[in-house]
Amino acid sequence: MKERIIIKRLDKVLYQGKILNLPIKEKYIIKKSIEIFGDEDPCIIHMSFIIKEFVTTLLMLFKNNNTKLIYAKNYLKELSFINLEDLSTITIELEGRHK
Amino acid sequence: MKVYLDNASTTSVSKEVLNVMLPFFKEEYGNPSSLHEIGIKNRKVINNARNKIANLLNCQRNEIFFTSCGTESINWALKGIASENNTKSDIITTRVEHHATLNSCEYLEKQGYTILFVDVDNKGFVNLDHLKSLISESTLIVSIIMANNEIGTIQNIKKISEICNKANTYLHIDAVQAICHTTINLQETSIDLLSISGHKFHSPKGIGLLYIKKGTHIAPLIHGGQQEQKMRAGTENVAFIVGMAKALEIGLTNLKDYEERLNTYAKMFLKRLDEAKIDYLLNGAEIGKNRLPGNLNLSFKGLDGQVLEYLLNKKGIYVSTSSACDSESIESSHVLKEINVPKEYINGTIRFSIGNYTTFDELIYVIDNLIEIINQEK
Repeated sequence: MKERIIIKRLDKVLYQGKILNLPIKEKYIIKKSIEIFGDEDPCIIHMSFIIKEFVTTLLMLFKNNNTKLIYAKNYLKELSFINLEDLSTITIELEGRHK
Repeated sequence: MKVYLDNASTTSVSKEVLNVMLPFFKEEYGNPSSLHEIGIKNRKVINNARNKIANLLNCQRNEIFFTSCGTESINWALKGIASENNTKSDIITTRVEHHATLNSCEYLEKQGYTILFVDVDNKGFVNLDHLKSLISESTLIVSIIMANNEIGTIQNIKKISEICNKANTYLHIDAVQAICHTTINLQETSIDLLSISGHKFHSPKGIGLLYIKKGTHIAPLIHGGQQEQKMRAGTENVAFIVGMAKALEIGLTNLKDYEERLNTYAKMFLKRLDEAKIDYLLNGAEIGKNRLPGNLNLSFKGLDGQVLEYLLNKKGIYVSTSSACDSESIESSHVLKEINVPKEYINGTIRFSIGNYTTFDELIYVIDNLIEIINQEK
């Protein structure tokens, strides 16, 4: 989980950095916390666990599609946790190690 | 494959322990204080369990008091002594104690007691000279964790007890992590109070005991009925008391084999990491008589322990980090900070605690996956 990503809309960079710092919607974190821990008020350690769950979802999309570039419009449901507007117009790229 | 390497957090209830407990949930449900057949039977059962435990620990039966857990025992030991003996002002402990001790001391500090911390070295051993220098006529009690729950370091309790005995202070030993994992003989050391928790040695969560040496002046923590010689009120948890006595019997009977087997496993684990050229530190004492068998508290350079724990969990491998959360950040363990684990290692710490039921094949699976994950995360 040391991977870094670049999220772009056209050529504009919306986020560049560690995948673990990916912007995630708070309501998704709470929803996941209730699902996993039965807790609507997760502590920081539980929040950190939940973030890793979302990051794993994204990493699996890269892995399962054997790609380093994802068009979010193809995975709107799976990526709906990302806290960015209009996901259908963004791309997510794994930095380095291009195919 | 699922591999549980978090036995220092808690253990499974063994089949033998479960079997002796089961009748007390259904047929043998009488209150031990009742003077009818099923009550009287359970009074006898508790007394027999107490006798068995006293024999195993080499103490007297009326020195054993059942509690709900290790934390209750520790709270009782410290607050009970403080409440009953307010002519002395100082309490001595270490900064590598369990939070049950640290937070009880913090509470007592607010009540006016002075808390003094004895130094530990970079393996977690108590500095005996520093203890001698701190101890005085004002010292009410010294409280030391016998085997550290995080790094597994086992203290020289005999030496510590000699120092306390000479200074005429009470000595409380937190043996929660130690019992059934290393030898304790209450006749060979001058311990006044000793805390034990059942779930660390294959009996259920929710049962513990406090050994209180005869003649110790201590107040109850929980007030109510006349149970436990009027010292710990509350209807006795018969099933769990019976279970804990059985677990203690099994654990102490098999201790030598357990120690040898787990130390062999632990050495093999580290050898494989060395062969794979993994950059790690073993926190605490060297593997052997001064370290809990099967405890491997390892810090991996430049890695994130939380991530390692998460990725191992995805492989069905269950371990612990020692981190704690405050409101806004994840804090490194107070124990690791106290023994000065270097900053490039401290965040990459995982505690693997091998248990009695861990198999060789399971360990191979863990090591293979761990090496793969570390190489991927480097």
